[in-house]
Amino acid sequence: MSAKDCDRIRDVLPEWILGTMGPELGIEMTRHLASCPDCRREEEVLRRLLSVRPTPPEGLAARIQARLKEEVGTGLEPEAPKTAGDVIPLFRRHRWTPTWALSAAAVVILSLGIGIVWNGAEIPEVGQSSGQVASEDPAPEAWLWDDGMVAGAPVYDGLTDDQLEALIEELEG
Amino acid sequence: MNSKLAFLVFALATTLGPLGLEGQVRPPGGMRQRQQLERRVEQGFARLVQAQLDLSPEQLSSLQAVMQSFREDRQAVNQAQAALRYRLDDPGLPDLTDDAAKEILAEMIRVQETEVDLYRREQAQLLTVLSPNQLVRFYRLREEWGRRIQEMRQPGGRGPGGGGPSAGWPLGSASGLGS
Repeated sequence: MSAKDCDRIRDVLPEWILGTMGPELGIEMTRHLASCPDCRREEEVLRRLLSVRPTPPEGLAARIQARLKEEVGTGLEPEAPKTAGDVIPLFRRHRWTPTWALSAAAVVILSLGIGIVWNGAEIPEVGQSSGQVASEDPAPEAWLWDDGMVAGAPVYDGLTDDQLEALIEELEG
Repeated sequence: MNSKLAFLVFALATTLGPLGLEGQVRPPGGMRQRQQLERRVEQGFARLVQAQLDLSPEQLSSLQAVMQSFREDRQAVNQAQAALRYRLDDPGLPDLTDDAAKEILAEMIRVQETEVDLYRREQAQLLTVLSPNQLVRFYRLREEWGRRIQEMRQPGGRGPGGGGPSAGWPLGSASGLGS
């Protein structure tokens, strides 16, 4: 086991952790990690980082795809999952993706966020009151638990600050 | 920069980016102001209850403490209910697998049970402050209060700019709830 082996293994650790790696590579990874404490430590750190990564709400991806399809039209079919046959063995793999690409992506994401704030664009506020869930469409008019009460007490979701002020006036008046 | 470092930067950006963004977008103190408003509404309601049920200042204080102590549990149930509504509103619902549907059905039961449990625990605590008779009247007031809020929530409902509260609110002695 050489330092070069370790470098290669660490390069593909994210895929290994995310479970997007083919079975052939998986065997090599398992063998290497079993015999290399340094790489195991590396794997542990990355796993911890990923475990605190926020997950998008269920169905969000499908909604986005459906909306994009509506707006753009065709050509947005979901990518078929990779099969074992599609996977190039680890040590014959061409690293065509530049390593700076991920960093660039991170910078772009942060820049977009800062840019939106800088320009004062309106962003829907998520969870202004704790019970709110971001949704473009209004909640169905009649559905389970749609009476604005939880365990017999009212909640204030969906009320504006002005309406709350009006309620306070009513109570105090 | 090797790919490991790039990955670390990416993971941190996706983890911390939205948090930072949220902090920047939300007006300073906006969340706190909202919480203060909600608290003032609850305090106002508690004072109304005090007047209607002729509670002593000590009873009022204990009542407010009980109501406050269940606030987080109530918010958690509210969130769980909202999450369920969100899932049921998913356009992909017709294509749901049986396993995924069963998971939603189980979650519905769990949320209902949690709500009943919350109701039971709160009732037990309220009974340490109010007599059974007062508690029944308290529930009646709260129901009426909830209806008023729901009315205000409806589009075109009786809220600011939409007319005044319904007749009979706040409940007066004519309602039969006064002591």
